[in-house]
Amino acid sequence: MAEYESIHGTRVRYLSSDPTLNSSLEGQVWYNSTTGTNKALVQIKATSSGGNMGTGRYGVGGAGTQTAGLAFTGSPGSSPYLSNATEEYNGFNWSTGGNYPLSTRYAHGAGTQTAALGFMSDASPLQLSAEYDGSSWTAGNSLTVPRNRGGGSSNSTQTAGLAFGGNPLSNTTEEYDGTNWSAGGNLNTSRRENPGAGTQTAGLAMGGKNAPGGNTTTTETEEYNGTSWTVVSGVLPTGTSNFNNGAGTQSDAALFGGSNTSGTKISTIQEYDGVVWSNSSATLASNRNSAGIGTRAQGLIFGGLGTTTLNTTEEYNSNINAFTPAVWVAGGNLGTGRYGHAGAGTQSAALAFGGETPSTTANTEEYNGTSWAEQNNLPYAKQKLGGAGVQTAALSIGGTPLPPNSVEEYNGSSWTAGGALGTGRYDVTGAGTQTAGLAFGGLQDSDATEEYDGSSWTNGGNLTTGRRKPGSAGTQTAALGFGGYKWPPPGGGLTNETENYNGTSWTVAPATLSNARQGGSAGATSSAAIFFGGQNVPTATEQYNGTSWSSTTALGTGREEIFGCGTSSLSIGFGGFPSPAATEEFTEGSAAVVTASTLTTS
Amino acid sequence: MALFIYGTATNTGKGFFTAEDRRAFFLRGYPANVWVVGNNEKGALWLAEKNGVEKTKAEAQALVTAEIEAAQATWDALSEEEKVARPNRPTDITLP
Repeated sequence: MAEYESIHGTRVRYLSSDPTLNSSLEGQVWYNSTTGTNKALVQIKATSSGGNMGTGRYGVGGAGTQTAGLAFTGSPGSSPYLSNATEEYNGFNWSTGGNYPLSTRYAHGAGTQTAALGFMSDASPLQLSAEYDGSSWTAGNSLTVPRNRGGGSSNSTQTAGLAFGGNPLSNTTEEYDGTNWSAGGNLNTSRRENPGAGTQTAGLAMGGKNAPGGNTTTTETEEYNGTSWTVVSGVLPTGTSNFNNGAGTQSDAALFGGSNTSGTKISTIQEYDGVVWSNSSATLASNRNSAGIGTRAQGLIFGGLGTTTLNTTEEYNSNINAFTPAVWVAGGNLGTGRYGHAGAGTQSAALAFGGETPSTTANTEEYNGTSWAEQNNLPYAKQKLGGAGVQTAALSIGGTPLPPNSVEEYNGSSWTAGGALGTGRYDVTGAGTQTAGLAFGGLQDSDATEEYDGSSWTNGGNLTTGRRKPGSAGTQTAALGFGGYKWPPPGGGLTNETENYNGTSWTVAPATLSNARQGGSAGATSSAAIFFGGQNVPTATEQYNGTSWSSTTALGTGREEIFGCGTSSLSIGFGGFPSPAATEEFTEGSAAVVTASTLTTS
Repeated sequence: MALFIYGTATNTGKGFFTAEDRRAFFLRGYPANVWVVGNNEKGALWLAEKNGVEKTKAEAQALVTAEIEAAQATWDALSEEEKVARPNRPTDITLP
């Protein structure tokens, strides 16, 4: 058996403490004499599922990043065989973008989701290139040499593209300056279906088919310096061709799947560190020849060909940072499954009341972090009501059926009448506490806001956009309202708008939700909120950091009319349609920490 | 190899799926107690431990569709006034 010294040229280092952990130590082993343990820094590599594309396609072009990806053109594998469709990825789902100027396939891409370049596809005219501005494509000047299935510098900007190789078998390189294509240095090895990465001045050509016909592939790699290509010593572990791009830079690249020299699709992820190619310890979930974009550390793989045309998306992550990702886990089931209900409290001390079962209920339950227990009922059976406060001091606000202005206070064991709303309504949202509460939105006065002092309600500033059942976070004097159903018609419908309340007036926040919806929400402050579930995207979860919304881990069971409470980092969602009894608990991920692994003999 | 396993299992509440489960395999619940589970060893073991009944994708999709269609029919039968109160018709679900 080979010893460490014969492999690495040095002995295992003998240290009194762990060294400073950074990427330069990846794969290194040392002995910690203080703890008496052998230790190593291991890179964590894994793939995970992303949202499915709206239309499965092979030969789909790609550009952008793992959280802002772009897919365009490709073949759906059946009539009409060629597509001009564009889809944009936001980290968890795809939405429709502007159409490419040509229905085609095998296009290459470069740039970003909002400033992309497409080129070298296989429908006539082969020379076509086009630019995307985030909403529409514009045909630009043509390449000089007509070809398709070549390579491109996937990490280039929209105005500095690089196209090389292609079919018919070619060694031609062309450079784009934002207006025109011009000749670059020729590849040393002609190749087609050759993936590429890097930029116009630091390009990377990897593998590809190196004969005019057949599936024979090369393992050879070439690097471009802006003028000429050089064959380098690093070779792909597996000779691979791919319809689309590799990802990353000239010195930090990855090739996701592809086809081997037998023409068989593979799931291998091959990684390049600027000198050596090696196989990642992770593989794709299936054998596929797909578009791959992003970086070696954060790749996005979508569409392509497996055994059939694929609409699936995979995300690849490779990092020495060990972190605990955010997660939703199952909580105890409600005794009375419900939707259109309200609640209050925290993840470990929550309250659920009212709602539909489907009949309207007055039922109240308390959650202790493990299970729900029935309590004294509301005085009225009501649904579509608002909730605020904590488990031992909660508010039930409005709702339907009559009386829609009724408000009840809970003291931890029973409900008593509180001050009536000035404007009776349902689909109203609550925030704050039992003695400093806030009610806003709802029918029939969808922009009305009222403030509660523990005994009576007074008018606050109106919402900028009237809406039904928006999400909420924060307090009476610093609240956040988001999403909901814009009302009244015409112009009604689900909204993605966010507003801030300062105790006097609402102002529109620049941040918008990725998905317009009514969902469950939580958040102790107006700068830290969470929104989950809802129409069209029943598992989607987004978090607000005071500036913008970003996606996080999905609910286990997608639902509408789910209610949430707690904080943005420790929240709870319960009830909802179509899983009215289910409860889930959300825990935010921990910050990235580099941790050395202790090596054992087992 | 298929990406997912399809099955039915009843959510028994706390502990039905844990953080370790969510990190070890893809897991998503749908109407009719249908669960889509990542096709790896831990995912398969989870479904078995939950007394799940494995289904084909078509079978699982049929269960989900039937439940959604029933909900859509219920919504369609609402009065116009009731539809104002509940403006969102249940949407179709396509399993991944």
